[in-house]
Amino acid sequence: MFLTHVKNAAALAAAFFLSLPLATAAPRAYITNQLGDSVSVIDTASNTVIETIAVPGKPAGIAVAPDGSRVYVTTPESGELAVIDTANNKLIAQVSVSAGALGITTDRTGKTIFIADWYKNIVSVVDAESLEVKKTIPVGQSPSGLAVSPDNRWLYVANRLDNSVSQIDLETLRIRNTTKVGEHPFGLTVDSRGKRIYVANVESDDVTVLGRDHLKRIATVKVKMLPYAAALALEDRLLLVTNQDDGTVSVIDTETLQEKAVISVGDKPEGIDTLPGGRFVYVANWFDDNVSVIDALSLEVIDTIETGGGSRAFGQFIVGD
Amino acid sequence: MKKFTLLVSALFLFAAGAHAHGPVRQKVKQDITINAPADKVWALIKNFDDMSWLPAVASTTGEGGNKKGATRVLTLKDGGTIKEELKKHDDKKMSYAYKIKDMSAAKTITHSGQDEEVPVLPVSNYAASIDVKAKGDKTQVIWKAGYYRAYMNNNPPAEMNEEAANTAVNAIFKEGLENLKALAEK
Repeated sequence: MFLTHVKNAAALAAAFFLSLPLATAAPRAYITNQLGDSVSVIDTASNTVIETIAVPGKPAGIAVAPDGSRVYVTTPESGELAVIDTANNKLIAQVSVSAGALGITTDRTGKTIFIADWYKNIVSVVDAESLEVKKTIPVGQSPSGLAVSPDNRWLYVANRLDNSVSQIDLETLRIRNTTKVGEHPFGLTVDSRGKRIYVANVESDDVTVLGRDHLKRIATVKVKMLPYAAALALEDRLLLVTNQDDGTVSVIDTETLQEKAVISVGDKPEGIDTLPGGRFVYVANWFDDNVSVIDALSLEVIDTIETGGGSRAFGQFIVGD
Repeated sequence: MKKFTLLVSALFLFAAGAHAHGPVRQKVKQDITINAPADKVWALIKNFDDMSWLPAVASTTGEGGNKKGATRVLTLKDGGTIKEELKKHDDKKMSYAYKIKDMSAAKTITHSGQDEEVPVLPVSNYAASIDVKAKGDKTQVIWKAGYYRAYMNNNPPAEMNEEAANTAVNAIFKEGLENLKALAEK
């Protein structure tokens, strides 16, 4: 009893002191630089790179643990999962997963990491503590983007060469439903209520909007050349989509489901993610080795941050709140 | 040309096997400043079916003019061919973007016990753009490309690895931009 009490007090004190810098620090953006073999850490208060972490193996895909303590990165050249401790921005582990590892996300508890294998047509289920692959789920051809619903019930997978999206039940780890979308779906995102899934289709230059129930196609919205990934802003009222071959971001009104603006960013924009609060959106520009910051209210680029060679940041990359 | 398409398909199937690693997309960017007005420089390069400003090209045939989806076939001085498709053309911005659709083989090599055809430009999935920008009475031309190495499977032969791809693209860009400068400053 006494021990428990002491332990709790210590934990409380530790939590208090630890929470101080976290509470005052601004969110950070972790950007994978594939050609540069590094991850740039951006402080979003000053919009400057505060650290560059060497990550070998050509880092590309990225995910954040729900508590913000870890950043997970896929390195497709080495087929590995790299783990970064966000408290000190150190690379603390790098383990083999599978040869074509690219798309990555975590479940909402942070206990499980999902990694899609581009060549093997599987999603690996990885234990976040042991970093061991517990199971592999067969999916469609060339699975790429992954996203988990806010209620932690469903994992969505874009099967690029099958032109489909699969909904995996996280209780059974089996596919519950698969729906045809546009041509070559790549990045996808789920809204904050878990009701809609937005899928960027690289070859058909559009976004498919799916409903959670029965994975029904609600709409197809035309965007610009080579839409790659998508993120929501302003309490899900806007969807922002990177158009890789157009050097732009399409802004879609999620109520009317029409493209309402097109914003010029850097060349070959890829990964996109939104700060907590929903106003500022970060876009990694692969060709220009930098990140554009968009204000979703004014729909303008308000900052450009130099990062490293071949910035991709495919996945969720914002840490902190 | 057909043979090359088949080869690419075969490579892709093989790349789908269990031992494949993902090759990493590469890029090249070069620019040059030309002592001539931008409209004069743009006039030299703007027609997609005319690549005569690139020294390695012997002749160009095109279909579709400068409309998105137009195609051109470059016949190189060494006899090889490259077929390209226009993805974007903006006369006002003085910019266009294109992709390689098909290429002939420069040679056949043996690698890991198999015959491999090396395309005339040792790249795959190649997309490029050219931008002309007025800088006072001078002009800046920026040429960019993103692509993968020619060999999509693991352990590429030297003729088809990233270094071979980057060297070849850099050489063409340098030669092309220098010749464009010479033509425009005449």
